[in-house]
Amino acid sequence: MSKALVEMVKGRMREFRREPSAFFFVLFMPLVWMLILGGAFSGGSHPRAAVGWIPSEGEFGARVQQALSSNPDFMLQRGDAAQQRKNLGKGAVDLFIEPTADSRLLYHYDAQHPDAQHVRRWVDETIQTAFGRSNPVISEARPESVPGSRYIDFLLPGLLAFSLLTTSLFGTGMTLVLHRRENLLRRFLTTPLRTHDYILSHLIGRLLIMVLELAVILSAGFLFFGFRIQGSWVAFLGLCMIGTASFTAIAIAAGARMTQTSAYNSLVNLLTLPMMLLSGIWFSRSHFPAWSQDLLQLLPLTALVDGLRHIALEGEGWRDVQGQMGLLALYGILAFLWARKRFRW
Amino acid sequence: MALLGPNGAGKTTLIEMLVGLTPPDSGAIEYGGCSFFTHKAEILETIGVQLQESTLYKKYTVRETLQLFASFYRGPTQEAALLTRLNLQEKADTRLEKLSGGQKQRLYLGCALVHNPQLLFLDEPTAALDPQSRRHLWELIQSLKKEGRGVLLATHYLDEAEFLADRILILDQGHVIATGTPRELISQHSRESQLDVQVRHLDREAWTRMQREFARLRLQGDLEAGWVSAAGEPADLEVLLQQLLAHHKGTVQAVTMRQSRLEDVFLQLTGRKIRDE
Ligand SMILES: Nc1ncnc2c1ncn2[C@@H]1O[C@H](COP(=O)(O)OP(=O)(O)OP(=O)(O)O)[C@@H](O)[C@H]1O
Ligand SMILES: [Mg+2]
Repeated sequence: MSKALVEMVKGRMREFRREPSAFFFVLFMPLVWMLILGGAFSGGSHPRAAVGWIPSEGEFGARVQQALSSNPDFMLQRGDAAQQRKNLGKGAVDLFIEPTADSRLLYHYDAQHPDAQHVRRWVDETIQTAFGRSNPVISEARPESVPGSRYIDFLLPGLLAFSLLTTSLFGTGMTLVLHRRENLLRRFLTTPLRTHDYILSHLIGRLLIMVLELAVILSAGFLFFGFRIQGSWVAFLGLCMIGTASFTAIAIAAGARMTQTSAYNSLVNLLTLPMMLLSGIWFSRSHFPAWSQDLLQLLPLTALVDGLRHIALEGEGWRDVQGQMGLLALYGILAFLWARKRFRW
Repeated sequence: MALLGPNGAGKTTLIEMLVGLTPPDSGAIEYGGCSFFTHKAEILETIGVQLQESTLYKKYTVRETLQLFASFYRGPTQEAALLTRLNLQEKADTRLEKLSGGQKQRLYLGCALVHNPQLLFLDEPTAALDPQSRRHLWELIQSLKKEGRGVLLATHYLDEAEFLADRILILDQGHVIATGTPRELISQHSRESQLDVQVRHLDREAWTRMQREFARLRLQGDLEAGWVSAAGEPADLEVLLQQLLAHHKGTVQAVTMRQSRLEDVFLQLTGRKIRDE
């Protein structure tokens, strides 16, 4: 390593340490997301249902209400029909029950909503059993917590990948654009500083920051949620490195000739927001139409997220994520070539 | 050597060509027979540059900035000596965002000096500085000159050029319009003197007549404000002055007549073009 490269990398770390917003985005944001989302979807052993009930006079109404309120999984909400309809619209209840004068029950729910279907069956079974229906086959539920199957296990690699993408794009690219605008890049050009030392300093700086991000996100996942990497640690780390290098190259390509930070910001949002949705960071991509699945797999963020999930959740190793690694490397090389061609000091 | 020229004359462009940032459309730039195409690294080791409107990392301290720049060059550096020389010892561990304008400019100059260059290119190093800071920087530049380094200084402060430069090159609209020592420029381009008269009110009739009669003296004046200025052969100016005195008895407030200065030469050479725009 040349003297210049050492100084430049030291400088990159210095910029990071002394820029509170960089610190915030890199280390704090993923933690906040993790705690909010991880917390929201892992409370309680199984989900509860909000059920609306229109109270009625008479013995029939009392028995139904008794059956429902004796099951702790139902959160019963009393109110008249208008009130219930409003709640249903807001999503405050999954379903509401209207008893009729001739002792029948009407279930009102949103037919489009998969959860509501499920709640209807569940509510109905509870009531029928309470009224004496006997079940000929004896069955018992045995809930188990399979490692790697919880939402937080799915979310964490996604958050990690997304955080590597955004910090590379905002960190490296923004630095580049700012320094170009302030004529600092041209100032460097009048010194014997070599171009590849400059580029390398960005890459090495990113990888060091990546180690920090990994440490923070993984140890928080480990401590708070019992997250585990089922597969190879080395492969996990290697994939993160290739991903970060590739994203850094994309950042350099994106900021190759811009001088306006606001324009760069828009460009980065244009790149990251669709990818964030399409790559399945928060939710599984299986909701997207079948024909799009193959295309979505070609996105760089998808490659990283999928690879990380394969390793962390399915216990895979190097050989199983070669495709994702190759794709990321390809993006990195293409972006780098593009940047070299278009770069303005 | 000072590079003088009005805004947009091409000073920055010229310097950027000389330091290899902008390729010239025509012509060649050589350092003792070496060009940027063949000896880029060698040339960059021997020149020090301060660009106009260039800033450095705000979050670095003074010392870190100098270390960074020093790391780009081959030779060893003596930061401590350089800090003393720039009079920044006390600010060595202050971040750039907390420095005053003058301190920053000195540091920028310091970054151009870390590798002991033989040739310095400074683009308006004293722009927007207070008189003390300017003086300070002038002394620094003068000491660099004494050490036998070449300095090319772009500026539009004439006093700066007059004070620091052995030779001056006046640039306008991308063309070199004059070069020489300050003394040579004055004697070549302006053998004339300068007359300024201030009266309470300028007599309209007399003024109109004088304008016709003394057209070649490049008369300028203002009826309301009551000032007249003219430049030309001292003998002609004397006649003009006598007439002015005769017409404005008792209301004359100030009269100055002096030999042309660099400023007059500069305005004479470049001024008309600005007014044409
Ligand atoms: N020799 C030239 N031929 C054609 N255009 C030129 C030439 N030199 C400069 N220019 C153009 O003139 C413009 C102003 O030039 P430049 O910035 O070098 O002026 P300057 O003297 O540094 O002005 P300032 O005092 O404001 O810094 C630029 O757009 C530049 O491209
Ligand atoms: Mg300029």
